Amino acid sequence: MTKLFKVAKFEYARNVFTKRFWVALLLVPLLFILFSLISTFIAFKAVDTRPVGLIDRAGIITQAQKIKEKPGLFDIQIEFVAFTDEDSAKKVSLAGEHQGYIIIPEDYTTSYEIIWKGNKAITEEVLDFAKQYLSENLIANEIIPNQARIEEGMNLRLESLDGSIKSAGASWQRIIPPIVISMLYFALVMGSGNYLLQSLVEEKENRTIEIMLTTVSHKQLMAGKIIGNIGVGVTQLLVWAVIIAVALFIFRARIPLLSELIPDPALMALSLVFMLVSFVFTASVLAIFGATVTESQEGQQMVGLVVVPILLPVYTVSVFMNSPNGVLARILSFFPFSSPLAMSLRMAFTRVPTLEILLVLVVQVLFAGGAMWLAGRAFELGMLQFNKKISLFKLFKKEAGDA
Amino acid sequence: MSKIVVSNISKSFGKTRAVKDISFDVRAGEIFGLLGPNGSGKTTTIRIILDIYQPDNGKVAILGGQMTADKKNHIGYLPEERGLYQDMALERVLTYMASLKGMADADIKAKLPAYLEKFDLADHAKKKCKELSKGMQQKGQVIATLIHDPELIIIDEPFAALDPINTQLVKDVLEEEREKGKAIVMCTHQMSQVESLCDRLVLVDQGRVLLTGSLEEIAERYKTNEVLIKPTETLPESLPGVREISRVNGSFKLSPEEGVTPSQLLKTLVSNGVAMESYEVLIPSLDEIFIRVVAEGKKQND
Repeated sequence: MTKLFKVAKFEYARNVFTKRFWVALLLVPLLFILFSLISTFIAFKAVDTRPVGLIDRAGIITQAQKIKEKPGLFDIQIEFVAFTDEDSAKKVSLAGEHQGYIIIPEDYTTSYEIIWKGNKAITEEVLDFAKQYLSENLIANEIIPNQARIEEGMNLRLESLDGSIKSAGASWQRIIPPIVISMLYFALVMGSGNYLLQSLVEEKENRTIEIMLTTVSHKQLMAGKIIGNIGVGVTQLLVWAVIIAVALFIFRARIPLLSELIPDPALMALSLVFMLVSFVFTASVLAIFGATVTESQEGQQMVGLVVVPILLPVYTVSVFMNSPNGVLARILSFFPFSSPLAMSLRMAFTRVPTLEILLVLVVQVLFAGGAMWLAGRAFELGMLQFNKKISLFKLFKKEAGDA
Repeated sequence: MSKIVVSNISKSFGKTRAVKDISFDVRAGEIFGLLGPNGSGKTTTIRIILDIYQPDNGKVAILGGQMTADKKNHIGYLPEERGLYQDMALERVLTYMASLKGMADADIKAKLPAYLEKFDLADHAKKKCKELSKGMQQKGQVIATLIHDPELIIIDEPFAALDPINTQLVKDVLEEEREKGKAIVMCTHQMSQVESLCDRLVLVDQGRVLLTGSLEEIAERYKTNEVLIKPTETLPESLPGVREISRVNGSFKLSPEEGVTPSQLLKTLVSNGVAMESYEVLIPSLDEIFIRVVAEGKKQND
């Protein structure tokens, strides 16, 4: 085994085989699940279960709605009340007895569009029930012979009761994978990125670095540390992926919100690739900080600096929803810190051209390579400077050093 | 056979010339002292020898040629600025360092317990380094320097933080290594240790070599021919061939004129009827030579 992999193995083992690592690793998803359950419960309690009016102009609805006699703890029941004219439905809705009403237009079998009329946005629960009820009737009456199209569901148009606000429906499920990715990436940088930085500063603080440098080259040492800590990050991701998969498997049938979550495998795979490449860049930047600062406290402050640009897409999420191929979204896609989140958000909300995806990936690989080179340089110059900081400017000078 | 040949190396950092045209060699089976005051260029010289820094001029041949990755496995280095991974068990840290030096796991398992036993650390092997005393950590680092049986050992202040018993232990270990034919470079400020251990030395200051040679050669070169006597009767105020007589703790130090040897002084004392309890030729200590040479070097530089 080469020295590089011995360093990587050591870095991996010293972080992964500790109680601290596993406590932190398991605590994050457990807290996530706990807060998700609490928020789900609160959301469940706040769900509007008032009836919904239904005007069927297409003549599709012939079956009676199936209502559970004994609903479960998390079961929500929303009753559809049939109306023949819109005025009556509007009147009941304006009186607050109904949430609003749904119109199935005459051309539904060609447009697949239904209209929601209400002064509140249609809730996911109403949408689920409407989709289910409509599918049952379409299948029962064999109105649309194409089973796949039925399963795809209907398009949705939203209108306020007075008709003044109109918009197309947006699916909340789309934003969930990017949010999960952003949380995972954030935790990855805060976890293993931070381990890398601390390991470098620690070797400088406790003076083991000089012995290390007489045994392995500075490039082997730096690359070994980065690889080892990427391994720590991948372990984190794998453990969390298993926990999320198990949680989905157990709770999916019980929690209606989760049953809607069907992540696009291609999107998830691409997001993971962007995340890994960007992590190499971010880890290298943290390594540069680790090699140039003199105290672990300073290193911690540097992690804080890195986190801010990583989360830029989260702060500007509305821009990604409204204009996923706009200038800001594109800039943040190429910016190496924010790239993984920006790309996963964009790919969730729109079709990003394949060429652009490839271009962003190539740029990120170049950034990662450049950052690794600089990290090696910082290591070469800064690691034996026990009491002195190295300026970032010095890294680009041809000859630099100090006794 | 020379294990290190340093030929006219120089190194500058910006405008500071840390090392100026230094040359020396270190042979197998000797302990070589690399001495100098703080900031004299010793550490830079060692880092150049170990290929951490590249010299601006000159060259270093180590173990018969240029430094290679494999040669690093045959060098044991104990730096002045040292430390261990504080949150890890001593045994684990030493195992890692030995494996980086190319030792197989089986070899480490076979040799490490014996070293821990020898340095009285067996009962502390599982403890985290931060739980060990400074002296114990120091001994741990000496183990890390020696466990892979290096041909060349470079140790910087090996006795710092050690009590007299452990100092003797480390001295014995270094002498054993010398007996095995290892080349040892030792940097220290403790001149008594240099006198008792080193075969040859080089003294550097302000990046330059001020003095080099064996201990005997250096003592010969800097001897003053002064003698210390304890007379039984009153000593005459002046004696032929004696430049100065001074009192030192109940004895008298006689400083001879140029060219007068201690044996000639003794003859003079006897012929002048001076009866003595004791007669001792004063040999300057390495400490005195060190101070004198460094002061002379500074004067020349000024």
